[in-house]
Amino acid sequence: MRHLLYGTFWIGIYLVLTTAPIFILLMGPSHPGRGFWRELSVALGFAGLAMTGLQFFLTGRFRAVTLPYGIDVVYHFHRAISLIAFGFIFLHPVILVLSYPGTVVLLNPVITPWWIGAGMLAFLAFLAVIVTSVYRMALGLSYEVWRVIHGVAAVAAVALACVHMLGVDYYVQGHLQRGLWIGMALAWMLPLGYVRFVKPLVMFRRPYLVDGVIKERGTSWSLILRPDGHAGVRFTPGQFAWIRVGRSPFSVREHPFSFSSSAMRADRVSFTIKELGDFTATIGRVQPGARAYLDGPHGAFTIDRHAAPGYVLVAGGVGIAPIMSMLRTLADRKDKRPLLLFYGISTLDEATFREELEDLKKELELRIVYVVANPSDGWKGERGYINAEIMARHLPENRMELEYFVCGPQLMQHSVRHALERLGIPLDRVQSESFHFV
Amino acid sequence: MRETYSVHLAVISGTLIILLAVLFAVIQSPALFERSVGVAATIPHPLEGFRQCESCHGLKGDIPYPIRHLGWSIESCTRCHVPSEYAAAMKHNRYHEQRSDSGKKLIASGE
Repeated sequence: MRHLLYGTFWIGIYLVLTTAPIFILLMGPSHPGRGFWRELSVALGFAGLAMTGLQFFLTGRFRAVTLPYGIDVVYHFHRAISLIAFGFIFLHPVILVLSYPGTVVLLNPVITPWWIGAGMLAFLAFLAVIVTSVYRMALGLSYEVWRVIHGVAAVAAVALACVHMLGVDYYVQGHLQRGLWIGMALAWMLPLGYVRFVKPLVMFRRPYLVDGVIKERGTSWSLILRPDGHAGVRFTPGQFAWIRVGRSPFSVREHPFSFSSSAMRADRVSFTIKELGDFTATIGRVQPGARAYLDGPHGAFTIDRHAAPGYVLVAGGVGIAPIMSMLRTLADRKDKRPLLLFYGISTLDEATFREELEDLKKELELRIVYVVANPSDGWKGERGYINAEIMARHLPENRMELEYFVCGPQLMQHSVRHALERLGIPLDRVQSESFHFV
Repeated sequence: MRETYSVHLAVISGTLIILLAVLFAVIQSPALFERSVGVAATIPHPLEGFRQCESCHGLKGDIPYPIRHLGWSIESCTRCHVPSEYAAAMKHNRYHEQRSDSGKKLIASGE
C-alpha cells in the first residue's frame, strides 16, 4: 500500500511538472492568440521540452522515485515517454509549416533567424538521441560510446531548445515567465550534475576491493568484493548494483549485476557474472586487490517486498544469481518456508552453483527441479524448457498463495509468465525484472 | 508485463498532455467560437476627408473589394466595416444573414 501511494504521488508530480509549462504560458502579460494550429504547435513544443528536461530526473536513479515501481519500470517509462516527447517536438514545426506554408522558408539554414537555427539544431540533437538509442545494436555502437553520445546529445538538445524558446521570445517575455523557464532548465541539469559528479564523489569515498574471482560452472564468474574503509551497503536479496571495476567512479563504463551473496553479509558481497559481452568476458582476468565502485542497491525484485507462505523461484542461465542471493539469505535467516526452484539450464554440467544448491537443500525446505535443454542420455529429470506442463507437475497445492520470482533471458521470462498465466497463477504474484533497454 | 505497464503509463501521460495542449490552443483562439459569417476587416484609416468607399475600393479602384461584394450598396460598407479605433467596442456585434426575395444580405444584430 505504501508503495502504491508513493507511486501515485510520483506520477502526479510528473504530470504536474510536464503540464505546468503550458499553464506558465498563460501567466503574465496577455498574449494575443495567433490561431489554433499555431498555438497548438507552440504548446506541443513547450510540453515536449518540459518532458525532455524531466528525463534527467527519471534516469538519476533516485531511490525515492524508483522504489515504488522498481528501477526497470522507471527506465522503460523513460524510453517510452522520450518517444512521445520526440513526437511532440516533431509536430511543433510540422503543424506550423502545414498551417502556415509561408513559414517553410524558415527551414532554410542560410536565411533563417538564429533562434530558428537553434531550434533546428535542437531537433537534430534530439533525433540523434532517439536514433542511437533505438538502433544502437544495428549501428554497431558499444554501450560506452552510446552512453557518451546519449548524454552529450541530450544536454545539447535541451540547451538549444531553451535558446530557441528564449530567442522566439513570445510567451517568455514577462520576467516571471522567463525566470521560471530559466529556473526549470537549470533544475533539469541538477540530476545530471548529481549523477556525473556528486554520486561518483560519494562512491570514491566508499570504494571496494576485489577479494576474489571464482570460476563457476556455466562460463560464469563470481566477483567477490569487500568494502574498504566503510561498513558496506545494505541490500535486500534479489537487488542489483551498477559496478565499475578497475576504473574511476567518474567513468561511464559501469554495468548492472545482481548481488548473488547473502543480504545478511554486507561485509563481503558477490556478483555472479556470465561471460556474454565485451566486458563480462574480461571478468576472469580481474585481479584480487583491484578497486571497484558500487552504485546501488537498486531494484524491486526482492522477496523482502513480497511476504508469502512460500516461494517459487524460476531461474534461467545467469538468472540464478539473484535467486542464489535469495536462497543464501533465507538460509542465513534459518527460514523454513517451503521453496521450489525451477532451474533451466543447457546441460547439467553448466548448472551454476549446482553443488551449493544441493547443500542448501539441507538448510532449507528446498526442492529443485532442473530442466535441462540438452540432457545426457542417462538424464531422468525434466527436459526441454520450463513450461506450464513441467511446472504443473511440481507446483504444490497451495500454488495460488505463493509468490513467484522469475529471472533469466527475456524470452524465458515471457514464456514462464505465459505458462504461469495458463496455470491460473495471478500475475500480480509473479515478479520479474526486465533490463533490455538499449 | 513491467515493460507494458511503463508503456501504458507513458501513453496515458502523453494523452493528457496533448489534451492540455489542445485546451491551451482553444483558450488562445477565441475566434474559433465566434460566429463567423465573414467577420469584417476593420478599416485602417479614419473616414473623415475620404470620398466614397468605391473611389478606392470599387472594382476599378486601386484596392478593389472582393468579388463576393458585387451588388452591395455603398451604404452597406460601414455596416460591416468599422474604423479600427472602434473595433474593440464593436467586437461583440453579431451579424446575421437576412434572406429576402432579392437574396441574402448581412444585417447587424439589433437592426
